[in-house]
Amino acid sequence: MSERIGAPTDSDILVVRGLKKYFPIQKGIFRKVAGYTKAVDGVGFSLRKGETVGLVGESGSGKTTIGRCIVRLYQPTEGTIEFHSEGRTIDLVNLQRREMQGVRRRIQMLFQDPFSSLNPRMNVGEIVREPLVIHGLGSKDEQLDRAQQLLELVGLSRDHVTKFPHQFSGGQRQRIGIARALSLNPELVVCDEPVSALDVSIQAQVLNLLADLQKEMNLSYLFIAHDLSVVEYISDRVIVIYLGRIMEIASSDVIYKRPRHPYTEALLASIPKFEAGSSRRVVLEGNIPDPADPPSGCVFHTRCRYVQERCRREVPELRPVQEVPDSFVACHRQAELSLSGYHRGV
Amino acid sequence: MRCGTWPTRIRNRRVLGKTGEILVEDVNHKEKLLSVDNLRVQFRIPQGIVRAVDGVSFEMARGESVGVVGESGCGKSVTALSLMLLHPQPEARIAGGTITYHPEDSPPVEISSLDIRGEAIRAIRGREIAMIFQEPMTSLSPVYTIGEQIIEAIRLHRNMDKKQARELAIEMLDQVRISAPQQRVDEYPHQLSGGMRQRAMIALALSCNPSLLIADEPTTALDVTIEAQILSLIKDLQQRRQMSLMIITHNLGVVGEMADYVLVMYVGKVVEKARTKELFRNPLHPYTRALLRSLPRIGSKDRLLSIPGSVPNPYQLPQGCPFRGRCEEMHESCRDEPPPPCYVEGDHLVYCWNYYNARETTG
Repeated sequence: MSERIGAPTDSDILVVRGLKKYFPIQKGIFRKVAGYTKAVDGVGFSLRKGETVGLVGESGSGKTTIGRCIVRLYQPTEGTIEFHSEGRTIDLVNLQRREMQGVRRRIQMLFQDPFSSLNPRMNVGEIVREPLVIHGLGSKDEQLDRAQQLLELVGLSRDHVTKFPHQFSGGQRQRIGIARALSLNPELVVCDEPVSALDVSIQAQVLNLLADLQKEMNLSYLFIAHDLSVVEYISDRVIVIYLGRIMEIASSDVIYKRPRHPYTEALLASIPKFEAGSSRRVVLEGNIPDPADPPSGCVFHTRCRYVQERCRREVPELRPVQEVPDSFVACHRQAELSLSGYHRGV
Repeated sequence: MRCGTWPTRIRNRRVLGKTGEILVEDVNHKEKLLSVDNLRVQFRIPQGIVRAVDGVSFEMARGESVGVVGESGCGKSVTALSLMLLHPQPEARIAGGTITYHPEDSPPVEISSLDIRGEAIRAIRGREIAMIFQEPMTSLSPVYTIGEQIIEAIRLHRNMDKKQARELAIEMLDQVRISAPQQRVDEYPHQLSGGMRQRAMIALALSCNPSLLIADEPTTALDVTIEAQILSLIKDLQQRRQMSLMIITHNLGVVGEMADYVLVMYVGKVVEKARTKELFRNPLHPYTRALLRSLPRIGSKDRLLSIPGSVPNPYQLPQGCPFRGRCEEMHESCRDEPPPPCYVEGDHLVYCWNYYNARETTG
C-alpha cells in the first residue's frame, strides 16, 4: 500500500511507510494483555522540504500518535520512518538512543498547551536555552545570546529572558514554545495542535508567525489539528485520517473544493458557516468506533452514507486519483461518487 | 403533543390547533422573558477589583436565541452565571444593575435582589432557567447514574413520584436521541462518550421544561462532527419547545448558526449588539471587524490580519474605550471617556466613538 505513495524523491525530508502503533489493553491483576488499541494502523505518507502537511481527524483518530512516533516519543509497532537530512537517510524507527540524540536536533516538536509544556520553575532564558544545554552547544553566554535572538525572532523582547512563564499570556507562551523548538535550527517541526488552546484573536498572530518562520528558516511542518479551516490555511497538502488510517491525501486547494472521500465531505459539511446564518446539515451520525475493535472492511463504513455491501467486507486501498497529482483516496466508490465541497454561505 | 407528557404551552402570540399546528401567529408580538439592565459583577482579588461584567444591558423575548461571543476573560460566562445567581461565592458580587425575569403567568421577579440561597431563586434555577456547561464530565456527578441525577432534578421541582420521574427521565433521554434509553438511564457518566454525556446534560437541563436554556460553550470540548450533532439537537429542541436560548461561545461560527442576535463582549463590556445576519454582513465595531478578519477561511490563503497585542489586564483596564490599545481607528476621544451607545441602522448597537462622532457631524 505504502509503495503507492510514490518513490521518495530528493526533495523529501520525511517518508513514512506502513506505520503502525498498537497500545496493549491490560486487564486483571497480572496485567494480562487482553487486546490492542490500534491507534495507528498502516499509515504511509511523505513530507517535502519546506512543505507543510496538515494532519486532520477527530479525536481518537491517531493523529497525535503519528506525530509522537515521528519524534520517537513512542516506539512504533511496525513500519519505517525515514528522515532525509544532509544527503543521508536515517531510519528513525531502528535508531539507538545515542544516535537519536543527533537526530532530535533536526526534528522538534511544538505542543498544544502552552501552560503545561513550559516548566514554571524555569525562567524564559533557561527554557529557550535548555535544548542548547542538553546538546552541549556553545558557552553559557553564547547560549543566552542565542536565546535572546530567538525571543526577538518570535516577537518577544530580549529582556524577557529573566521572566517566568506565568508572567505571560497564552499567545506569548506559545511564542516561547516556538523559540525553544527553533533553538537548535531544526529542519522539521511537528506541530501538535499549536493554536487550538489560544483565543481567536491570538490564533492569527501565531499562525502568521509560523508561516513567516517557515519561509525564513526553510522549515518543514507536520501540522496536526482538528480545525479544518486552520489546517487548510497553513498547509500545502492535507492528510485526512480516521481511526488510525488515511482516508484521503490531497493538496489543500483541491481538498475543500472537491473532496473525494465521504469522510472528508462530512468533515467539511460540519464546519459552522457564520456567513450563512443558516443551519448546516448533519451528515455524520454516531461516534468514532472503538479503535480496539475497528469495523471490518472500510473503517468508515458504519457512518458513511454511501455505504455498499463491498465496503463492509473489503478494506479499500489508498490509491492515487487519476489525473490529479498528489491526490490519494481510500474509497471503493471513489470513481463513481461526486461529493460536494465546502460552500461558503451568502 | 410533541413535547412528551408536557402540554404544549400556548403562547400569547400563537393559537395552536388540535394537533399542535400553528393556526394563527403574530410574529411581531414579542413577549418579554428577561431583561438585564446595566449589570455589573465584580471580583475582589488581592490585586484589586476586577470588573468582570461592567454595565451589560440586554433583553430577551420568549423563543428568541441570543449569542454571546468574546475571548476568554471577557465576562461572558460570569454574565450567564449571574442570571441564576450562580456567580462564584464569596469573591464575586453583583455590584449594580438589575436582572428581571418575567414568568409566563405571574408578576416579574427581580432576580438580582433575591437572596442567593433563598427559596425564590431555587424555584427559578433549573425550573425556569436551566444551564448546560462546557465539560459534562465535570458538571455531572460521577457517583450517581444519569437517571438518578435527572430524577433528582425532576422531583425537586415537580410533584411526581419516583416511578413517574423515572419514566420522564427515560423519555427525556429518548428526546435527546440517546439510543437504548432504558439501559442508559442506569449508567454512570464515565460509561458514556463525550457527545453522549453532553446529550445527557441537555436531557437533565430540559427535564423541567425551562423557559430559558443557557448553554455555556456547549460544544467546545467536542469534535466538529459531534458539535454539528449537538447544535442541531439544541436548535431542534428549542424550536419544538419554544424555549429561549442563550448561547455563550468564542466561536463565531456557532453563533452564526444558532443565534437570532449577538452580543459581542470585550473585557466585561458589550461592544456591539446586532441581529446575527446584520452583524456578519456589516460588522461595525473595530473589534468585531478585526475578529472576523483574523479567522482563517476555507478557500482563502491571504495572510491573516491579526489583532495586535493582547487582552488588557482586567484589574488595570485602560481609561476610555477598553479596546483602544489594540484599535486601528483610535483617536483622541477614545482616550478619556468610554464610548456611549450608538444606534446605527435601526437596532444595530455599537459602542464606539467613531460612530458617535460621525453622527454628531452629520446631524
